[in-house]
Amino acid sequence: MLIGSIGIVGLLLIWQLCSMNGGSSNLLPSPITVFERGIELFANGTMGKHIGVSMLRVVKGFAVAFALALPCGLIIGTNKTVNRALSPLIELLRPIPPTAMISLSILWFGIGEPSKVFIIAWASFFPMVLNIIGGVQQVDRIHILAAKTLGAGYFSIFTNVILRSAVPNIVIGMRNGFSMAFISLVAAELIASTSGIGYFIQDARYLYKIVDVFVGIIVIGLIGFLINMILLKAEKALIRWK
Amino acid sequence: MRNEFFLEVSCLTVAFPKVDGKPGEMTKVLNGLNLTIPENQFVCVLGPSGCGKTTLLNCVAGFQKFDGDILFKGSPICGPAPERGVMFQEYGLFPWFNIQQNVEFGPRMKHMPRDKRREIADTYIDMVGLSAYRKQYPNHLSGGMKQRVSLARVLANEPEFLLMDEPFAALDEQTRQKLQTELLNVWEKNKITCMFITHSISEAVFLADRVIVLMPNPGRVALDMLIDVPRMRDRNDPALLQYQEQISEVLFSGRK
Ligand SMILES: Nc1ncnc2c1ncn2[C@@H]1O[C@H](COP(=O)(O)OP(=O)(O)OP(=O)(O)O)[C@@H](O)[C@H]1O
Ligand SMILES: [Mg+2]
Repeated sequence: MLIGSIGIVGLLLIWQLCSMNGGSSNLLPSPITVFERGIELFANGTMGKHIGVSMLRVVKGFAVAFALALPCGLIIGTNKTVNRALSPLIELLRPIPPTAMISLSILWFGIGEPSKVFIIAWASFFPMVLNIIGGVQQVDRIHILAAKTLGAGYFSIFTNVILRSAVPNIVIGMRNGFSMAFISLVAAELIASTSGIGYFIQDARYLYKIVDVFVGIIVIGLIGFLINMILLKAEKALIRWK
Repeated sequence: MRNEFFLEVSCLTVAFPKVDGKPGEMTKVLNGLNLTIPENQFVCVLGPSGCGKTTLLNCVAGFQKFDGDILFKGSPICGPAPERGVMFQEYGLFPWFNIQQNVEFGPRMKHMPRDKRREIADTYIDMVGLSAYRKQYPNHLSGGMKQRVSLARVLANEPEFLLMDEPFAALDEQTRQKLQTELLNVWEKNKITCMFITHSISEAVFLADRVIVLMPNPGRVALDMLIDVPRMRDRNDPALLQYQEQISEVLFSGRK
């Protein structure tokens, strides 16, 4: 805990020193200024509203991606033929970054919410589907045999063995997927937004509110950090048996 | 009426691709093996490592493709089934289920009501002395404890034919003797038939009605002997020791 904060404190110190030497330049406000502005933005509810809107988008995009990735991953992972048929396609689509999909998304879904959800879903789908496929494939043959000798039919084997043994990978996939959803948020909010943290940062740039840009960036970092911590905890709780 | 042809293995041949061999080159692990086991017999299989004991058991369990015929109560075996319970050499417990859930698995697959299957599970968990560990996960247990859970799980499923691959190899002597006795009790009470693979000659003669020694290259029956000593047996019975000597003679003759 203590040692972990060395880097953060160090960066804050250097930042403070640099901002003091920058003198009149407005490009690097001091951390104290940023902190005070952050408090102000939270206190007057602006930041809370933007966070709420953004998080809702992330959750929607993530949910869409998960709802698609789970059945796809399970089918591709359990069926060798489907796997061979679809793996090249996935490998082809996977490297396309979410930002590259913005134009297409606008053309397809317009400039409203759906196009933003699409971008986020696109980003978080691939890490999830790949982890789920991997999880299903690495099921131990002996567990399937054991289940069969204990009288399990195909459906029971699927739910009690294949799915259960894939849970750790599914959860890891969800964590990666959620990070990707969050990372792509700002890209998604480049599309004609009027709210959200991504919008907040952009808007601050147009208005040359450099302090607000800093606040926005730090808030994104903090939220990402918190979510990852929560998901790691959830992961531990879900796979106690490991 | 005791079924004299409970299990009939005839001309059982299993070949695996040769290690470091050309593609298509095969080694016969078992070659034309014949074996008939009557109902309720306790058969122990001995033999040097790699002679094909596990392979034989896998064929009977329905895990392994083979040439030849295996009839279980008159019908050919196709795949695993709950009537033939298996205790694996590597445990095969479900790591995501706790001990109780593992033992309850078979009864649950039979759609037994919750209370009933819990009762059965508790009985067998008690029997293997793991009541205190009901809620633990297999990965948190020692090898010997896992093997005991594995025994409880297979017994809770009440198979007719119990196939066991070196089930007690990882246990301390005290637990091993206790479980041997428990196994014999269940075997006698439930009128099951057992095929029990072991490396211990003394274990084999203590447990078995009949000992079969397999020898390698290719795997074949080198000795098939009835152990004609009444039960409950005394481990130090001189008659058992005599049987042991006969078996070790066969086992070690092939290893000069
Ligand atoms: N899946 C497989 N592929 C190739 N060869 C195999 C396979 N399974 C077993 N063998 C070979 O078959 C032979 C017999 O193996 P098996 O596991 O039946 O021996 P075992 O008598 O059970 O030995 P142990 O006492 O060490 O358990 C070994 O030489 C092994 O290398
Ligand atoms: Mg073996």
